[in-house]
Amino acid sequence: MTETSIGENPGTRTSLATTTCSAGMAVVFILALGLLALSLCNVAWADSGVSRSLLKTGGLLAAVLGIVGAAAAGYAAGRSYDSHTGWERYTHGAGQFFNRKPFRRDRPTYGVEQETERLRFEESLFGRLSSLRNLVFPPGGGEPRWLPAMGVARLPEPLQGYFKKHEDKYAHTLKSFELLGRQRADWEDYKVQFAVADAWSNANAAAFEDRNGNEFREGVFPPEPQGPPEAWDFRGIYRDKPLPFKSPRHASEFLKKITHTFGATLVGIARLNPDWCYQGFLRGLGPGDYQVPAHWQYAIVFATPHEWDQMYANPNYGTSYDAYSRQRIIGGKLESFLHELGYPARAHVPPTSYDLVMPPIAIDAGLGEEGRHGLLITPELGPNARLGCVTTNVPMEVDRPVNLGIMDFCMKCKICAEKCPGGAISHLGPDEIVRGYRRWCIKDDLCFHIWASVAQSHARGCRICLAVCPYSRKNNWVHALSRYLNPRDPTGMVSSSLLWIQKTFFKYPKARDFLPPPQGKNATYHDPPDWLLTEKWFDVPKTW
Amino acid sequence: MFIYSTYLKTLFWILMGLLYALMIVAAPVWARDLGFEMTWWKWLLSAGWYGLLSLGVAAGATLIGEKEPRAGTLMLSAALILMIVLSAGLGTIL
Repeated sequence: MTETSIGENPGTRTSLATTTCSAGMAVVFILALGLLALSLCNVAWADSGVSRSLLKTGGLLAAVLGIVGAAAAGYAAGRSYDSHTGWERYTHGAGQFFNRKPFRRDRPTYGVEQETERLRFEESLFGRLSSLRNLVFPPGGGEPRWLPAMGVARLPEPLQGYFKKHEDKYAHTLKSFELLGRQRADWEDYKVQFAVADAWSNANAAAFEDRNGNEFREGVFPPEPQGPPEAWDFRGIYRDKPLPFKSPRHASEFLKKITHTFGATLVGIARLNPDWCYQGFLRGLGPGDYQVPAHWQYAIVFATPHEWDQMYANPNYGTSYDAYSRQRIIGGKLESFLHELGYPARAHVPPTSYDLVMPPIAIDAGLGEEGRHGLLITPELGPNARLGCVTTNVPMEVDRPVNLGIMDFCMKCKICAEKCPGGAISHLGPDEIVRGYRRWCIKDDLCFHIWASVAQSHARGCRICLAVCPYSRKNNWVHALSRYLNPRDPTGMVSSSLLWIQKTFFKYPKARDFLPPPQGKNATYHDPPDWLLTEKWFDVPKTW
Repeated sequence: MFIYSTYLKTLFWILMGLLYALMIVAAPVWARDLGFEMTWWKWLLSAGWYGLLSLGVAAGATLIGEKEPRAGTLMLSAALILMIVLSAGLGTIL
């Protein structure tokens, strides 16, 4: 395998094999085009003159090439990573688009002038500053071990040696301390003008340090609640009163924009229905009878998809945790951001850090409808959406729920029910009444049996129902057309036609084939992407 | 790569535009030489037939591109059969 055939980015180099193949195809294409032109010339040759005949030949050739072009454009649209909603081509490396190959050299441009040596920690500015900070403010508390007034001579090694050797650096460091103090004092003049920018910066840093720059060395992000929500959800608020929004509408629009900047693909806002909050347990307090906290008035709901190619290769090649980890980061940042603005907030994020159940809240927030498989189906992502929310009391304009005909489609479709190896999805309904609500309700124990049966190291999900759902489609023109037409068709003919195409043209493994042998064949809906194929990248014997 | 190229993608659609322009200029010459008496609605039907053919081919190719070769091939086949039937009808009308 040549170097150029592996690790390529979709937007840059192609493999040697692909290049050779493409060149061959180009030659064949040009020859075919020549032959076609000759035969068209023959067909088009008219008695009325050469120019007229050439025009006819050109026109006919253009018509044929127009069809070829449509095929090429269609193929490109299907293949493009730009259709991976929420994971567009830049998450697959296309941002690294510059072709470096012609500029590769044997030596780097920085040059080697004499014998080299390994660098020391104190040579790094931030290494020096963090060491000095730990001396002035010992991490465990207590008296400073060093202060600038003590001078270089009282510094411990290796800082003392470094600063004696680089006296100018010591002067620069003292100047840095002076500037830091001045910057903190000057912030009073700017803190209103740059309030949002500061809050956004601090929220983005919240995964690893607090607003004073103290780094977290352990724990998860966002941290699990400890104590009552009336204390935990207000932690980190430093303002005397919240930064007031101009109106609830401003608040909604602004917070949606911010949530998107944190990485959310979809965002919606709902007034929180207490029915969706668990009773009998509250994170931070444990088991017990608790009221829904008074400040949980609204939910900012956000969704991100799984990487599309691995999602289609469920159950064995897929995971839930790619979207989960993104959701945690988004939720944690949004929680911190609201604290920065002076509002209480609590993140509810996957896999289990929830005090509420997400799909109905997302439905209330207008993101989609419930599907037969009990998952939220959105028009953009289908059920390929993982959900999280932040509960808060910021007065916001809420979104209204939507009727996109998704439940009607699910009534007819039943593909997920037919392909579920556990038989966990109902073929009927929705006819089950749960706590007063009519809905489809999966047999969760049977679902988990499949989690615990598929060829994975942990029982971390199966997701076959996500992969086979006709709504789990990328964003190319074919599916965009379906998405546009189906909700606008009151007759149901579009959904029936789409469903007929889905069931006739598309090929699905049998339900039991998704299981490992001897019951099944470790089947997947699509072939896995090459980056998940162990045998492609590693020298392992292929025995399967 | 064509799909992601900043320039090639644009050039591709410029080229497609030129092809369509050439086709539109040549179409009346073809119609006259074949003895068709074209009216506006006959042109519309012909353009619709060509557009539908292009969309059918593009839809099949899109499905092949998104790793659904069976669906793509069936879509292409269905589109081609439909277009052959429609072309017979169109031929009668023209």
